[in-house]
Amino acid sequence: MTGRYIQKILVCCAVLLLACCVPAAAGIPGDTDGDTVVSEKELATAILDHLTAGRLSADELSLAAHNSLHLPYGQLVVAVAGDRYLIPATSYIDQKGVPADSLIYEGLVTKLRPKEGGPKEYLGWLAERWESSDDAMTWTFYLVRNAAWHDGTPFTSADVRFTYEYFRDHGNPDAPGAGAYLVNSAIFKNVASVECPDDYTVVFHMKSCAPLFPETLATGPGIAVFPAHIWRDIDLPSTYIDTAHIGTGPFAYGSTIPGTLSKVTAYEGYHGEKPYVREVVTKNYEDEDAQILALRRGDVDFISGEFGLSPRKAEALKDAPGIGICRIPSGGQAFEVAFTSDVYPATIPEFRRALSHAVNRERVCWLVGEGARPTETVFLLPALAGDQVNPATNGLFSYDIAEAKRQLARAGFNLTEENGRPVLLGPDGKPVEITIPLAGKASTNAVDQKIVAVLKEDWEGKLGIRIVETPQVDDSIYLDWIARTAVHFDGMPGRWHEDIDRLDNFQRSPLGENYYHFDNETFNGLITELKSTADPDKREEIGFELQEILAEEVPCIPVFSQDAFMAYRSDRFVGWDAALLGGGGNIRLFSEIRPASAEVGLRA
Amino acid sequence: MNGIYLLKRLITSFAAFCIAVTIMFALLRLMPGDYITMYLEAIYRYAPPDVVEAFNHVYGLDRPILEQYVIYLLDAFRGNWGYSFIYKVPVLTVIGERLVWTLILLLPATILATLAGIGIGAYSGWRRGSKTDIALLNSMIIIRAIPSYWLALMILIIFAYYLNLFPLGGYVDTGALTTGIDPLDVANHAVLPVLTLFLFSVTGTYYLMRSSMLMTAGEDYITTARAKGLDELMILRKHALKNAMLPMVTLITFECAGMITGSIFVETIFSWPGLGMLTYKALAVRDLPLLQGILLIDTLFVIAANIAADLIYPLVDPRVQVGDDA
Repeated sequence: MTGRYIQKILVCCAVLLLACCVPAAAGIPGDTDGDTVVSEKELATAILDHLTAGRLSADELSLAAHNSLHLPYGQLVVAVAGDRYLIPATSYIDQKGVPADSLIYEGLVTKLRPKEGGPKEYLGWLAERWESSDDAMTWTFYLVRNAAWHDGTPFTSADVRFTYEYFRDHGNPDAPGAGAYLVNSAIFKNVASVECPDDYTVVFHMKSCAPLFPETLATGPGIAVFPAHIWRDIDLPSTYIDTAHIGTGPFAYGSTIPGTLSKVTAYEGYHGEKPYVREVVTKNYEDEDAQILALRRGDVDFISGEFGLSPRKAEALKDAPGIGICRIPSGGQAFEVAFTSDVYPATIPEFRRALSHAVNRERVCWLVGEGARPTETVFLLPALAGDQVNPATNGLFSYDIAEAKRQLARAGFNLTEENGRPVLLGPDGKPVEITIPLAGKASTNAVDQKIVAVLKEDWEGKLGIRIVETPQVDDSIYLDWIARTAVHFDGMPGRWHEDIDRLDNFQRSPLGENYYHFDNETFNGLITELKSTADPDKREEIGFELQEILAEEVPCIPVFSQDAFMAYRSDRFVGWDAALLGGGGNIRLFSEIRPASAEVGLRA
Repeated sequence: MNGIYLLKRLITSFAAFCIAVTIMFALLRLMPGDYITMYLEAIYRYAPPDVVEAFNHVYGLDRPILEQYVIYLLDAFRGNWGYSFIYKVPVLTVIGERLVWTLILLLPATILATLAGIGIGAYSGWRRGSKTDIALLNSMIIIRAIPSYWLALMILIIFAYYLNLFPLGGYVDTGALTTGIDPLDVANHAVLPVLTLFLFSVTGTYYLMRSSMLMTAGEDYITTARAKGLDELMILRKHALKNAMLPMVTLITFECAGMITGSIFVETIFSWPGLGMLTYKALAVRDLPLLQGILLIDTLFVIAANIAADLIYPLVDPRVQVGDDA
C-alpha cells in the first residue's frame, strides 16, 4: 500500500519536473487558436471566462483586449552593446545613414531579405511605390499620403526635397564651423536635382545611370528623411543638440539617460501598421555575458549583438526556460581566405586555384559550431543574393587535396620531403612560406584562429606550405599588414554578399586598390558596364560573367557564412522569428512583436 | 616651505605640463589609422578620398603639423578642446559627464580601500608572523592574483544573478526614464563595481602599509616605547602608525590621480559609463579631440597630485622641510 503511494508521488514529481523543463510556451492570454491575434470571438470568450470562471486575471484580459483592438501594450526592453545604439544627444542626421535601430526616422524604402533563390525585394517606408525611367536616369517616388511628423506636421514631398538640398548644401567642406559639414552628404552625390510635382510625388534626376538608386537610399549606409520645418533653421546640423528627435517612424522619442537607457513610445499617428508594443526601452550592457545574464534573469527581453550572439552562447541558451532563439540564415558574417594578388606566391593564379581545393570547409564549420554554413559559391550568398547567384559557379572550390597537389605540380611547384615532413618548393626552387595576420573582422569569435588551425593541417601537413601566424594586430594597422602578406582572412557582414553590385569589391577602382589587390581588366570593365546598365536581364548576364571570372581567378576562397542568433523572452512576447527573418534594415521589426504576458504591461 | 619654492614648483609643473602635452600631441599623430577612414571603411568598405579630404579640411587635420600644434596649444589654454568626432558634442562636456560617473565609483572605492588597506596592513605588520597576519597576507595574495576581469564577472554572477541582490549593470533602473535619476538607485547600482574596485585596490595599499609597518616595528624608538611600559595599542597608534604612514602619502596622492583614468574592465562588465570606457572607445576609433582632452585631464590630475604630495608631506612629517635650502 505504502509502496503504491510512493510510486504515485514519484510519478507526480516526474510529471512536475518534466513540465518545468519544457520551455515556457508563448501564448497570448485569450488567444485560443494560437494565431497570435485575439479575435472578437476569442475576446468575448475571455471576458466571459474572466467574469464567470476567473481563468484570466484583469491584467491578462487587458492584454487580450489590447491585442484584439491592435492597441499598443506593455514595455519591451532590448539590450544593446554600446552607447552608440542609444538615442544620441546630438541629432541622428549624421549618424550612419538610415538609422535602422532608431525606430524614430524612416527613409523612402528599405531592403528585405530575398527568399532563398528569389529576387531582391524592397519595402516602402515613406514611399508606397516607385519607378525609374528606362535609362535609370530618373527615379520617381510616390509617397504615402497619411504620414505626419511626430509633432503633428504633415509629411510631404517638400521634406524629401529639403533633405536632399540640406545634405547637398552641407557637403561643402568650406562651410563655416565644423558642425556644418555632413559626412553623409556623399550619399546623394549622384543626384543632380530633385523636383516635387505635387505634395506626394518626388522625382530624382540623376547625374549618371543609377539602376540601384533604391539600394543607395536603403542600405550601405542609406539615408532617412528629415523634417524641413525643424531643420531649415539649423546651421550646424552635426553638432546640433536634438531634444525632440522628430521623425515619422512607428515610435516617437521618449527620454534618454545618457550612456545607459533610452526609450521610445508608440506613435499613435503612424501611417503604417501600428506597433503592438507601447514602449521600447533600449538598455546598454557593454559586456555580452552581462547581456545574457540580464536575459536569463528577465531584466531584458531581447539580445543580439553586432553580428548576433556567438554560436556557443546561443547553444547554451537554447534550453533555458522562457527563452527562445531566433536563427537568421547567413545573417552574420561571411568568412573567406583572401589572397593579396600582387604578393608572391598569390601572384600565381594557378597557385590560388590549387589552394581553392585545399580548404576543408566542413572541418572549419565543425570547429566554429552551430550555424556555420559552408559556402559553395564564389562570393555571393544564396540566402541573401537570391537569383543573382550564378549556379554554374557553385561547388567549384570543392575540398580535394589530390586535385590541389595536381594543380600545384602543373603550376611548377614541387612537393618534396625534408626530415619526414612535406615541403613545397616554388617555381624558384625555394620553400613556400606564407604569413597570415590574425585580426580584423575575421577575428569575431576567434574564427581566424580556427581557420588557420585547419589550414595548417592541410597546407602545412599535406601540401608542405609553411604557415607563419602573426600575433593579433590592431585594426588600424591591419590593412597595412594584409597588403604585405599573400593570404589573410576576412569576415564581411552579409550585406557585402547580397548583390552583384557588391562584386565591385574586386574592382581596381579609381579609389585605389581593392582588398585583394586584384586587377583584372575584363572584370574592371564589366563592373563599370554594370553600374551604367539599367536592363535587368543584361545586368544578370554581366553579374554571371563576373562570377565566372572570380571562379577562374580566385582572388578569394569563400569558407562559410555564419547564421545570426538572437535570443528573446518567449514567455513574454511572440512573433520574433517572422519579424527578424523579414528584417534587414526594417525598423518595423519591433512593431511586429506582440506582448504575450501581462507582466510587460505592469512595468510600462 | 616658502612662497618662492611654491612658485618654482608651479613653474616646473607648468613646464612638465607643456612637455607632456607636446609628447601627447606627437604620439597621437604617430598612431596608425584615423577616425574618418575607419568610419567610412565600416560603411562603404572603402573610404572615398574626397570625403576623407573634406573631413580633414573641416577639422583642420590637413594643415601643416606645426600649425596644428600651435592651434592645439592655444585652444588647450583657452579651454576650447574641440568637438568629439563620435559624440559630436564638446570634448569637455563628454569628459565632464563621464568624470562624474567615474568618481562615483572610484571615490568611495579608493577611500575605503585606502582606509582598509592602511588599517589591515598596519595590524598585519604589527602582528607579523601571527596566524591573523598569515591569513590576511595569503588572502590578499589570492585576491591580487585573480584577474580583475574575472573577479568582476564572478561578483556579478554571484551577487547580481544568483543571489539577485543587486542590478546587473548600468547606473539606474528603467524606471528612471520616467521618474528621473534617484541617488539611492544609483548607489544600489554602484555597490558591486565599488566592491570590485575596492577588492582590487585594497591589496596594493595593504602590501605597502604592511612592509612599512614591518620596518617601523623594528626601529629603536618602538623598543624604547615598549621599555617605557606603554601598552601595545598606544605604541601602534602614537609611534608606529605615524611613521609607517609616510610612504602612504605618495601612494594615496597617486591613487587619487589614478582615479581619473577609471577602470576599463570594471566599467565594461558593469556597463558603467565612466572615463575608462570612454578612453578605450576614443582610442579604438581614433577620436583625436576626445583623446587629447582625456590625456590633458589625466596630465593635469597627475601634476596636481604631485604638488599635493609635496604640500602634504611636511604636514605629516615636520622633519621634512620642502623648499628649505637650509
